[in-house]
Amino acid sequence: MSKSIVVAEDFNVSRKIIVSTLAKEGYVVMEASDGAEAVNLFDGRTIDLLITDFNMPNMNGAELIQKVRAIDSYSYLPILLLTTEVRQEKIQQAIDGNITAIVKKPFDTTEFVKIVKKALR
Amino acid sequence: MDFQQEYIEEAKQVLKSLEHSLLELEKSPDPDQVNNVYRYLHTIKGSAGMFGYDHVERLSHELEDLFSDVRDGIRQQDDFMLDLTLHAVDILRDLLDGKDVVRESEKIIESIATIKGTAASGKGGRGAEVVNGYVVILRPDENIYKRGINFQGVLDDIQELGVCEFMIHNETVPFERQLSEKRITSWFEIILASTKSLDEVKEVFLFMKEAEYVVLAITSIDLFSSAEYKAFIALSPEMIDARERMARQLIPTLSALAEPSVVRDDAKTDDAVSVDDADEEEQQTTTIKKSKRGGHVSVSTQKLDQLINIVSELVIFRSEIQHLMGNNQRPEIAEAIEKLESLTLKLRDSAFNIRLVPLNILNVKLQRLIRSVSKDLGKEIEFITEGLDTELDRSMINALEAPLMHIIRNAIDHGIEKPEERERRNKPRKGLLKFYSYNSGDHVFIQLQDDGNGIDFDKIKAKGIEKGLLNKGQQYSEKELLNVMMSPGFSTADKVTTVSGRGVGMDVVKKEIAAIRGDIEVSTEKGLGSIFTLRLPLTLTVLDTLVVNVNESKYLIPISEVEFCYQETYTKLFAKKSRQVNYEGQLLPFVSLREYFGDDSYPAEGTVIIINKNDTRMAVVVDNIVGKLQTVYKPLNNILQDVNCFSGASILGDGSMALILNALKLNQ
Repeated sequence: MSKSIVVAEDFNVSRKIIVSTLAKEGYVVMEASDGAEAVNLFDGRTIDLLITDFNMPNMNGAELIQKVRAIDSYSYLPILLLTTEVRQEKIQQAIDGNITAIVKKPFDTTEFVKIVKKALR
Repeated sequence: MDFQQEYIEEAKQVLKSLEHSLLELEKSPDPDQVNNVYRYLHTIKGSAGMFGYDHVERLSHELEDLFSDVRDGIRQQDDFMLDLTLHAVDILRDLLDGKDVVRESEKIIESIATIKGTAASGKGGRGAEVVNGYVVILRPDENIYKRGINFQGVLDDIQELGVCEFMIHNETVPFERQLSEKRITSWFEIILASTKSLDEVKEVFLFMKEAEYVVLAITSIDLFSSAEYKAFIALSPEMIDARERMARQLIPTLSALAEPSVVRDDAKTDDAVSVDDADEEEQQTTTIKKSKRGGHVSVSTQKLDQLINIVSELVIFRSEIQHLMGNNQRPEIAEAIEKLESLTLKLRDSAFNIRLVPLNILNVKLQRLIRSVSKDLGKEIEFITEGLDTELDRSMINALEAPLMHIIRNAIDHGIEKPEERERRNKPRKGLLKFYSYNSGDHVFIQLQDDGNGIDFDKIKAKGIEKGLLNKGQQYSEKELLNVMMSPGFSTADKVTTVSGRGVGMDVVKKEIAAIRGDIEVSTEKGLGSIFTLRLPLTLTVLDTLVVNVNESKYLIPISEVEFCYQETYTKLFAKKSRQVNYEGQLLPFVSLREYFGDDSYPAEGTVIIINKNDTRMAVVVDNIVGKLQTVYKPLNNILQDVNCFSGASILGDGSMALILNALKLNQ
């Protein structure tokens, strides 16, 4: 069974890069261009990993993570948060204890795939 | 005098055993046999001096030296070395008989010296696999699961790094329950022996916070009693003792070093030692590490097959339990079944892994073949290998040997040109023969590439016409011609040589590869060379199948053979007398399994499955498709062996049996 991954990122180019990188690895990837769109994907279906940007219109990454975690079936879902934010404390506060890892943008795709694989184990 | 005669008799006996071990080694490298060779040489040397056979003593001493290096992993055995030693055995025998072969004996000693000279440079190249010792202390956050980290997965990853010993601290709640409740209150101390580097070990803890884990390299057994360790865990002397014992057991290099206190002293004096000595010291430690590492046990394949059979039954039994449980499962039982599943799968993988051997064991044979064939044909060959560490099922490697040899023979005979001709064509004198293999998905690929003349299609066509396999005026595609090349009774060699063209052609190669469920593909470019690609399944015992239903009986079709499936009404299928379906504009013969099994009632609609095996297509009509299943292949017993249309059987999840269909045979 290939794993399903939700990618939430408002910036089209980076989202496309992430999606194509993951698709090449054989994962089933669902895309969302903001938090509100992403949260709709968590309708009870099997999702193995959420990769989300921090700064997004409509609903930002931190809110998205909170909403998803509040749903019973996703309470142990691995989550990777993408960010360019330098001041990490701000983010840390918002999501600490709720996510698997923070991935700083920009990132190397091979490195990124490695992280994704670890998160999915 | 009597004693001397006795010595000669005994020495000859030993030489016989030595010869036998060398021939075994020639077949495949085996640490046990290397040890035997070493031991025999030692025996001969030991008593030779006593009876005044100085030359025997000298020669066996040099050989012993050589094989002690092989035993310790400093040197790889090779053909030349084995040939030389076999030759030396003859000389030793002559020396014992009192023949004057002193000069030959000296020559061999010289050659041994040359081998030793080359080994020094080779030594550094092969990264010695050293087992390192680590202690991992894990104090995961109680709610680590809430961060989406599968802690069980972390522990599994640690186990995959090497051999380890887990100690669970603060297990007030049983660890199993902590895992199922996803609240980790214990913390862990793990002693790990792994060939991985510290950074690679740390990578496992990628998502864990710095406060949650510590990885310490065990450089000395004193670690456990050090203040550094005390800072993490306060241990009583008995507990320290237990850990030291564990570490010694897991990490051989630690036990190879003497008492702990002495180790420390040694380490201090080491610093003062001159460069040369330090080098020697290093060599010695690698020797120890090498010789203590791993260790092998030879197990008969029969026992392995038995193990795999049992494991396979276990896999089936597990699905049976799950099936029996149905939907009304208690969560605890579901959890237990899940655990059983992960364990059985692991057990299965390990059991299958035991059967896997690296392709490397074919290397010597192939090289010897290339050497002799190229010599016979007056061609110069450079043989390059890559990916010889790719592993395959032992039985598969055995089955591969003949076809590979045949392909190589062909490549040298038909493909690669004579040196003079190559020069005329601006190619290097030496023909290049490349062997590489790699894993991809569930398959292993082996490619044999040569930079010779490529396959001559005109020649194939002419030959095909001559043999009556092709029609004269007709145009054929390259693919069709390649197919003809692989059909029975085809051989293009101008004259029958001992090398190729002995009536055994590519058709046999194709058949042999197909017998182990592999494919062969050829691509060629005139004047530039050809590539033969073999695609092989990883193991022969696990098979991905399509489960189909025919009149409430289930049958299995290997997924690899299924090209396409669609539904069709029976009236349409049986409209014509001829049993044919139209698929992609091509008329394919079909066999209705109901009809085949002598059943004359048909449901209104059936499923057509297009089978494509080795480019031969046909269709099978079944009632419907049940699903996909990974099954464990079991051969049929003697009673059913004559039934061609089934290639084997397998047991389904519900405990019932299903036969594996060999579709192409249905039509015959």
